Amino acid sequence: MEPQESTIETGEDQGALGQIKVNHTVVSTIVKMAAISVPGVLGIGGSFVENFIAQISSKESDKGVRVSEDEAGNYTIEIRVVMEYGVELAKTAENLQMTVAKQVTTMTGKDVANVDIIIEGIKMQEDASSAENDSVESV
Amino acid sequence: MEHFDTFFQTLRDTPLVFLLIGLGLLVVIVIGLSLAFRKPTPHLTAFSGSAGSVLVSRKALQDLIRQTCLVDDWVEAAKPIVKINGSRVDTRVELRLAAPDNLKPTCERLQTRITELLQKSLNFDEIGEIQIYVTSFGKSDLSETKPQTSDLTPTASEPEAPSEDTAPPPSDEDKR
Repeated sequence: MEPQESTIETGEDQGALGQIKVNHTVVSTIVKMAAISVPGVLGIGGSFVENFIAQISSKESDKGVRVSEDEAGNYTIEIRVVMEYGVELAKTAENLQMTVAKQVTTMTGKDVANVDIIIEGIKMQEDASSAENDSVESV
Repeated sequence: MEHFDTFFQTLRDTPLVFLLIGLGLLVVIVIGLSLAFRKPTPHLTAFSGSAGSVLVSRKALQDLIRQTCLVDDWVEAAKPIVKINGSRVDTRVELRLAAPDNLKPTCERLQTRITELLQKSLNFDEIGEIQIYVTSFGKSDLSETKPQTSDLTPTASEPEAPSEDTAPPPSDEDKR
């Protein structure tokens, strides 16, 4: 997967009135909001190093989400999530893939080629609040 | 040799501030390079489809196994170590049980639960060895005790707090 560059404008749509461009950071925010709405997903977050780099590079909103495009111009998305203990992880991940792909397509008008999920941690529901204090960031 | 002499002479004449700045830059470059070339954290592919793939980190697996162990009333503390060998997961869990009673059934129950969990929840096919080590009983510190054997079957070291033999298993609130 290619590294994400939040300053590059993507999602061009050439219409009669002009171009509509969607920034990768916007897509990343859509992905986060869609992911958090899925039951069983407690938070979005990458590793400590990634979160640190995201913080110092003012790309805080990109934490745990990478958005890039394939040759055909479709989005390729990678999400790092923390899931709730007790849920069926495979099914939740599948649900997450579908929800994110649908939401991004609906809101940007571009197709999603892949949604790769990386389960970074498992926590109890009660630990969700404390999870925000360490490496996980909820939307 | 002349070059070295010139170099050391220059070094002596350079103010301390510049040396410190140079040293700081060197440290930053070393840290940057080590981050750039660091070994990626191992992930295990749970499944891969047309919509994308689902990977699980070692930390997530360890979290999952620890929580599964802690759900059992007889387990006071659990320290799982997961090794990912290709597509195979090898697990080793160090346990502190509430009491020596039900040692074997508890260990067997945990092995079954962990296997079921990995198979059903994550669709893992290749589940390797699940080694259960009971390292202590009662309130003693798990990290202070060492496992006695490296056998695959559930094993236990000598109980360190036998006075709590008859104590009932702790509630979930106590464990958290």
